[in-house]
Amino acid sequence: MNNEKLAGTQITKTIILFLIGSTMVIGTGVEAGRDMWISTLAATFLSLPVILIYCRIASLFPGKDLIEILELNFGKLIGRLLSIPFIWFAFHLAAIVLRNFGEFISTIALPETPKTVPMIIFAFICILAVKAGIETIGRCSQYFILLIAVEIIIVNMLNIPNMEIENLRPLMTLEASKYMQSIFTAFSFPFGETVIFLMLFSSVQKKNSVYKIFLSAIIIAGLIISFTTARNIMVLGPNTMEAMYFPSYSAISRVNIGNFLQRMEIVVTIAFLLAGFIKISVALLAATKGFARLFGFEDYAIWVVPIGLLMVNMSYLLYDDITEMFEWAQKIWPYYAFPFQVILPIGIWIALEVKRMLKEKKQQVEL
Amino acid sequence: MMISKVNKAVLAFLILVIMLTTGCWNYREVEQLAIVAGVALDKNEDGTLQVTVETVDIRGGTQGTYEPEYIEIEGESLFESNRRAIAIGGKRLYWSHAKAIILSKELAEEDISKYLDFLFRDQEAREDIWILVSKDSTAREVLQSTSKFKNIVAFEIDDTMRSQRSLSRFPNIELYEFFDRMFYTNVSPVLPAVCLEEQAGGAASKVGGTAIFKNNKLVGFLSEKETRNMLWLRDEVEGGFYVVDNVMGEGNRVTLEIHKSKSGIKPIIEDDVLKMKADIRIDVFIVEISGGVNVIENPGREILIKKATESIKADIMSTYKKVQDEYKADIFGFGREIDMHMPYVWNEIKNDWDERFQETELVLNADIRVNGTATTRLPLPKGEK
Repeated sequence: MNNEKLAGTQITKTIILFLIGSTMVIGTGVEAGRDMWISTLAATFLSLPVILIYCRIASLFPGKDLIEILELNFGKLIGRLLSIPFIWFAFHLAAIVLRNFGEFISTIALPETPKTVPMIIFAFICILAVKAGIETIGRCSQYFILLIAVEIIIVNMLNIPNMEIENLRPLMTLEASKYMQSIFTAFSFPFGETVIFLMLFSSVQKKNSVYKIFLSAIIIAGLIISFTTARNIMVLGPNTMEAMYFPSYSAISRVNIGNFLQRMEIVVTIAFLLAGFIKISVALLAATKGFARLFGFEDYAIWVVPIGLLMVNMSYLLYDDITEMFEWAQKIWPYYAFPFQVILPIGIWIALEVKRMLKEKKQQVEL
Repeated sequence: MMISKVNKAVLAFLILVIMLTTGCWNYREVEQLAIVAGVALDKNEDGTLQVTVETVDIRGGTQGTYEPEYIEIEGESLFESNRRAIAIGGKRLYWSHAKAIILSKELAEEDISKYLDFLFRDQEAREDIWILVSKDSTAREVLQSTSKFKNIVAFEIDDTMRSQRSLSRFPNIELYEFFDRMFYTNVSPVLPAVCLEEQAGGAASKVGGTAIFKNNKLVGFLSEKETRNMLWLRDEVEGGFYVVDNVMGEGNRVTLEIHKSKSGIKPIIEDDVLKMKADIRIDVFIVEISGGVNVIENPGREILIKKATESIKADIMSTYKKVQDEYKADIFGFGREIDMHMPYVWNEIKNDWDERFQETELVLNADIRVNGTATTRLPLPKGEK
């Protein structure tokens, strides 16, 4: 089970779905108001240096995942200690995204059903997927992305009559600090979250270039997110969009063609849920695999159910209500995620490069 | 993979469970719901909210008919009244099909955000509801007036609002647009006004005119004609008509149907003074000529165009002046135009835009083109004296 291999295109699609998963639902980088779409676009490209560092770490040791790399280079004890933050991050992320979707379902569709019911059902499917392994998740993404692409295209075409390009103007007139903040938020959610793919790259076929996989996924997803944000602003108006918890959902609910083709938001919700399913599954898989490796288990499968159930508990305990969730996602998450997404990877990368250089020098001396 | 006997049993059990135990958590039969069509909000003398709900009573049969049923509730907030309605008649109000909310004038003169927040927030209330302000009667009287074609007043108001483009006598403001405008500091939102008009069979509701809001408070109304002038400055005229009197000599009248209208509005700076420039291009048809005046052939047509241009310009100018002087509210969205076209200028003036708006000059150009005269080439001749 640990020897599964994924084709490059499959993991690219998985990363794309992972990135758009909850971002399409709750939006990111609200600080920049009507220029949000510019700052998400900027965040896409400004996140590339950090993403390149992830790629470099992965490509230095092809076929190995982060925890193996750490153990190999820093010894068993330090390597394992260093991997604990990443495992925690993946686990925490899975719980947060599960809660995002729980709140989403409970707010828009099932306000009188306890949140735990949809969350448990959702988590159950994710546990099944993780048990089935990354290959299954990869193949799911391959089909889901088609469905989602078709839905995005159709819904946006139907929404064209509601779009007012005036809502985007004037461009870039806010204070610079707002843009910085917005870019920072958009970097930490969702682009920086891809750090957990470092824990899964052992499953990618060796012949595929990590750089190609990662960069193309980031750029495609970034364009989709930025376009979706622009659409939301055009349809809803910048003020309403800031006021909405789930702007994409609200924007799609405006579709009304001749009083006949309307109330499509539920159909699109399914697309959101598919992407969310991929995101939670990937995060849960990374957490489980890391956990199993940490304690030296060959097979991670037996840990999926307990960790998955823990995830449900965790996501239930995370926040008191939806207002707290959004406040946390906007104000605390970027700073909380920064060490996991930037500081630790950069530290590890520098250490790896230094070690490699020392090794080469040593070899030269020996020659 | 082989399915073992145990697994088969488990599978059968699961299928049974799924088939036997599914159902909705909080299933509501349609008979248990009162479908809200329209809502009227009034203010009682003691300050409480008087809510009148027009619900649709669907009667089955081969030809389903629907009749209005009114529920009147007193309460402090809209949601409270919404739930108190259960105690009267025993049904829960269902908001997804609501079409119109009518606010009374007294209520609109207070801060309207107090009453509309529920609609902005609730997930059952969809955003294709129209809000109207009742001009001279209570909102409840409007909602309970006689209906002409559809039995339900709110549905008729919905139909009227949807045909706005061929009338241009009230603004067509959708709920979400109004909400979005409420957030802007540089736009004063407007809403359509509604009043009662005596018809055979009783007073019927009539949508016409504009209610002007400033800082969420109603400050005044525009008449139907003024509304059209205002719509020209907002680039929202899509149809309608225009009557020109005394084109050549006395006692004649030409009615023009507006086919297309496009207003280009942008701020300009002339001699260091910020002005608004409006270029309005109107395509019209000559649809009715009375008084036998030949405006189809030249020189009559030239004269008509000139006269109509001047008349439209004068009309728009007078409405603009009235809004500037009387209401002091930027309902045309000029502040936003400046923000869009000259963001740096706007940043300097945005804090005292309120005063500046009253002094901002409007440079107006109108360009009228006659596109056709329906099916005839000549007017009916005028009777000899």
